[in-house]
Amino acid sequence: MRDIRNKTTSRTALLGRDFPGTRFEVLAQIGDPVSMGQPLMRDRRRPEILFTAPAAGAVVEISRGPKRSIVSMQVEVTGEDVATVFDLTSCTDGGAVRELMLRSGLWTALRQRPFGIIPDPADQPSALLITAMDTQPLAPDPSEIIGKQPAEFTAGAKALATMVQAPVHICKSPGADIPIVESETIQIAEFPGPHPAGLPSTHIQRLCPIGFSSNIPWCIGYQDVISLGYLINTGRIAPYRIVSVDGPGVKKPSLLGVTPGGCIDDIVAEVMHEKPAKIISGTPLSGHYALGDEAYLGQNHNQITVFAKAKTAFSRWRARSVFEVVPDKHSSPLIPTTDLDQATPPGVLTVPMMRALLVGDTERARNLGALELVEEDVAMMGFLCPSKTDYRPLLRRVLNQLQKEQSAVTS
Amino acid sequence: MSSESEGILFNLNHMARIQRLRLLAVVPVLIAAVLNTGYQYLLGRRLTDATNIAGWRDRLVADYIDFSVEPGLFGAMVAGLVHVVPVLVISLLTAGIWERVFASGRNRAFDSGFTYIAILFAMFMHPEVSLFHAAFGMSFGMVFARGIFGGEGRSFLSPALVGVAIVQISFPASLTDHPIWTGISGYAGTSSLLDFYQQGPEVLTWSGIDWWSGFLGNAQGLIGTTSVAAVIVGSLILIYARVASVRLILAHFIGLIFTAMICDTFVSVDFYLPWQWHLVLGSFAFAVVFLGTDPSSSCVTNPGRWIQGIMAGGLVVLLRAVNPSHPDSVVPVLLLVSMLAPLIDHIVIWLNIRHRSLQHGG
Repeated sequence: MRDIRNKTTSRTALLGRDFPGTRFEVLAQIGDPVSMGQPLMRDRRRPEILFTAPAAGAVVEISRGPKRSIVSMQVEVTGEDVATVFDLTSCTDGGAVRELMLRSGLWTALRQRPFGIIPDPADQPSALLITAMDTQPLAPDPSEIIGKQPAEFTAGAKALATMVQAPVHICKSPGADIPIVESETIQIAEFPGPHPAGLPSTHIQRLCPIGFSSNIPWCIGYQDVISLGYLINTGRIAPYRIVSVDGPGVKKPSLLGVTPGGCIDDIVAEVMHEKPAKIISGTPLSGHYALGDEAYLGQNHNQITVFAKAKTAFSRWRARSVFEVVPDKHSSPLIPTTDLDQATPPGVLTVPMMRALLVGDTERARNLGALELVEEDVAMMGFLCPSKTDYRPLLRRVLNQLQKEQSAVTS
Repeated sequence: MSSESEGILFNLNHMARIQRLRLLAVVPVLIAAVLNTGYQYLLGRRLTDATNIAGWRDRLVADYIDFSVEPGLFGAMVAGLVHVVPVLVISLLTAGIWERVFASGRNRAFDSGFTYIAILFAMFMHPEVSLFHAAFGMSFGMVFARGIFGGEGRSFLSPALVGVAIVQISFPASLTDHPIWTGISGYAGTSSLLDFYQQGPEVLTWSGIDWWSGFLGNAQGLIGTTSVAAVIVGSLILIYARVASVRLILAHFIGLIFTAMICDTFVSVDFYLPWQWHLVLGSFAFAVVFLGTDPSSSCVTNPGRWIQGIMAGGLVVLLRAVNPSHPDSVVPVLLLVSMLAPLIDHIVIWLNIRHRSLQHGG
């Protein structure tokens, strides 16, 4: 097994884009010293949900976007070992684990379907899915990362199983070497095949279908389970998250343990070729460009993809056709070629869904299964559609509308 | 979504790629079209009066080729080019002019996708077609099945198919009774299917058409539609590039074979034509692969594709068997099924929604 080097970055940040639909209340001001695990922000509507500092240091910048939304909150890492130590003595029952996750900020790693938002602390899910597989292009092998910290993974999964009164599914590739967790409520599910077999939506479709939001499953990534296990075992939040740095712009693809939310430029500085063309936090399909105030590792990202500058004329020509993603002045149409069929998780009719999203037909999109989807599920549509449309914001707009309607019905 | 510079990170299927692949797929058909048209022409000439030079095409060929010798590759090529190139050029010109008119009139980009449409249209013409007919059909297709809808991907019918249909409807005689080709012994028409229905099964033997010559394209017919082998090569390119749906193509053939078998059993023996002949005679294979699978004018859901294909394949045989006055019947069937595609999709979507609400509760 490869050795994994740990790397502390000079800065770390919380990115607003990782938490769609959240309105933040800032708790620390610029210049404030913060310890690792100290709350930086909280959810305005649900103040129990805290967003904590991934490393000790001082708040240096809070950059804002439209309507004063938070783009990123950046912390200069000092390297001092100042950490909030959480009390574990009472951490035996579900309520206490819940409390611990909320206080440590790990609750924000959970995602609820429909809508792909942070679940309400008072809710119970109909199932909890631990995604221990990854079929994204250039993704690291989860079994290798879990194999480095099997004790933490097991502890985290057990804690989650005590926290929710619902079945917990560990979703993995067939034959993947994932440690077995002894618990009555934990089940293993295997999903063969190429992308999107590894997306939580595919797993939900089989294990806990949402339909018209009668089921509310929660999802969590394997890295966050490991972080939870680390927290349960030590009382401190995990200082490193293992990411793979790969792509053609990297000298040697490798796994690195980096500060969560770490500055991408620091992470890739040593391993990449001199002039990379594009650096992406996350997968090439659904990540974000590491630029400006967002040049930080996304909260649920397991990889950083670096693309090289094209050297030959042919590769420049190829790169131009692939990278030139700005829609034409005269927009291209949607051509329903066959490869679009595989762009969404099973059960969703791709092209009718794309048409509903393009025209903003909320009702149609809901009927076709928009409640089962989040941004990463429709990322492939943009990759394959000749119109070069980004379907992720279109889906989010539909989801926001549906969420508004649903809360209007319930209240 | 906070940053304003959002957008997809990569794009694979830009329009230029789809258009390049389509043009690549049609190349084998073009080659087969030139060689076969020329070869059939020379063969017919040799069997009849070689001195009867009637049209401008004959005069052009006669300058270079001696009709009395066995047709060779060079001769077939020259005679083929003389027949194919004018039709192709006139189709391309007409389509290009209309594309330009609509592009400037409606202030949208000039879309080079019209070349593919024009080539398909030309492949569907009779070798001796009047150039006016070709220009008329192409104009109709480009205007009423493309231009007025806003261009590629926005129409619900394939422009080439509409153009061919209008030629066949408006000038039915031009397809079958061209003066130069009638009277040639054993070649009483330009379409083998028509021969078959007018004169019975023996005509295929008289004309020297066996199954393999039908498959390779060594048979009379429309310019580019005779060679099933070339169509298969083209279809492999389209399927590999995932532009055309393999399910849709398969469904067409399954529908055709299945219905042909039923018809062989139950329908009057006069029209008996085994399924393997249905595959290679007429323009079925070509029309299915290049026109029937046009993504914009066919179903977009997989169950819909199966239904559409099987329906089209079945209807082709039915029309061929019970309506011998329209021997090929591929064009009207594909038009009809293209029009039904949105309805089929609508039903599939409705079932999907119903399934969702039944299974998980609404």
